[in-house]
Amino acid sequence: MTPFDCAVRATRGAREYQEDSALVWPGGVEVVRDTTISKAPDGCLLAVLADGMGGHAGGALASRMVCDHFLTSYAQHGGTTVDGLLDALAAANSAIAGKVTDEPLLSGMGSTLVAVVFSPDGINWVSVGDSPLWLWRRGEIALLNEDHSLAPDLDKLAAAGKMTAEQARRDPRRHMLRSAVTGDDIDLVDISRKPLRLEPGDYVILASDGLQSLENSEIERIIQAYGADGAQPVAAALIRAIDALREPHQDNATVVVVRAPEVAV
Amino acid sequence: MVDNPAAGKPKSGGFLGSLKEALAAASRDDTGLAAARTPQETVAPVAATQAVAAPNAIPAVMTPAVAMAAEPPAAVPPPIPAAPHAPANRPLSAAEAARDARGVTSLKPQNSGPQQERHMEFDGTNTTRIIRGGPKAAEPAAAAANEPARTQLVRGRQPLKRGQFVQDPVVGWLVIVGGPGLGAYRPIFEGNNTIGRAASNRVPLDFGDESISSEEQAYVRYDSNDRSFLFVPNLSKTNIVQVNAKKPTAAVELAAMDVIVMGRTQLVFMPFCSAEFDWSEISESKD
Repeated sequence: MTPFDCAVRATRGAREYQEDSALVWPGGVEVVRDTTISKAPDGCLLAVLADGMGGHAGGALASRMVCDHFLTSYAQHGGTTVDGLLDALAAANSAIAGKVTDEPLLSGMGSTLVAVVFSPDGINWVSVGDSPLWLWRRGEIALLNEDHSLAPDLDKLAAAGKMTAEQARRDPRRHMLRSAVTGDDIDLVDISRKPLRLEPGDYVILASDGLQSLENSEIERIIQAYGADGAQPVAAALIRAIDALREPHQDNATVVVVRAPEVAV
Repeated sequence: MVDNPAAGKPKSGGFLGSLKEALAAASRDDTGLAAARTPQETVAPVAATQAVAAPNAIPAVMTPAVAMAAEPPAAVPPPIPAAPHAPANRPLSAAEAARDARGVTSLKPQNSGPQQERHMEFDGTNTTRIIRGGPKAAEPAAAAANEPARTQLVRGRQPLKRGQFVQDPVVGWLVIVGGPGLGAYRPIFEGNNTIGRAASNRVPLDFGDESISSEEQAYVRYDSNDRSFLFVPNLSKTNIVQVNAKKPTAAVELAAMDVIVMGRTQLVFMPFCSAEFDWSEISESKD
């Protein structure tokens, strides 16, 4: 039986281009060209999502490179999961650095990264930037990773009454990053302290920040409504909801939806 | 909109930081919130029974969903829901599970023991960076005292690498605000800038004002040592120049928005380098 039911969906939103990338392994075998590493450990799954920045060509390239190199590096690692994640992050970062050195015109490109390893022990993640990673459990979602944008500070200002919640929500600084994978040293890295055990029926959602045009309650509602049908309907419904908003400046939105296995023990 | 029929519990204000959940997490209180939930095993041996599954044969897994990701991946029938588990440990809510894996104080990895070293490898090199205000990582103690990790570092950085100058670095501009060439500008560079009508001047004012001398009617000099701009008239030329409506007979220091008149052309001086900035700052701190 398939341990993990998972799906990837994306929309360009109102943009002319798509700067998000996402990969799931096993499955992305064509980017993992070395056949010796195309076999994932039993019961494990790696999901990677990156939201690129740095202009049309640069952003798409950066997110794609980050995903590819992260996955390739992780697939080859031999140590612990956490070491594997951090090494893969470093590999993805060096790949960007190398590319920018070769082609200075691409300087300034970079990407967020959120990567999750699903294993029998639970999930481990590493995250840089503001691509949210959520756990959905019994109707509620909780953000697992840290938000490295200025959004938390804006929300704090709103909470302190220095601006309204609506102002905070619309503030362009929401999308300014305090940390990103740019080839330079990485300012902030969020990594799980210990594996988070999944329960049957849990959903894990990796997303680009474009998905945050939806309220958390709306995301909860959608997963609640489609959760019983599987990851594919959930992913489709989330992206459909984004498209239905018809936000004039809707950013790219991409989701990787993974459903925890039902275990009959 | 916010009701969760399956959860069967009143929806709290936010999924994090709700008082009820905070209390539940802190005290492991088994009543109230917990009782309202469907009991399930906390630590289900999730994939224990699935070690037999061949990972390469997973059809649900999407091949690279890069870019469009328009086509849906091969759908896999959702697993059959398991029978309800017997109540064991109190199940963790999403928020509680998140807190648990994140750590109660949501400390960043660099603050939490063994991962510190791992984190340092990212922070080890001290490259050129632009800091856009806010407390730096250098004051973690003070920041951590106020607030658990989430907002303690506010720091932005331009992901840029500096290479070689592609041209003489500009240190200021002359903007034509009157006469032929209105609206145009000419860059000023470090050192001596000859101003004249001919293209051979470092600052050519070749917009058709014939009353400007073709060669070296005046000079603008920028000295990066004291970061000053001097306007020097060439007194051997018959055409008169003015700076701020005065006719200098020797070098005068230029300040931003000073107005220079040469012939029938009126120019405004705008410095780029100043006490706040000079290109040497960047080349000195370059790694």
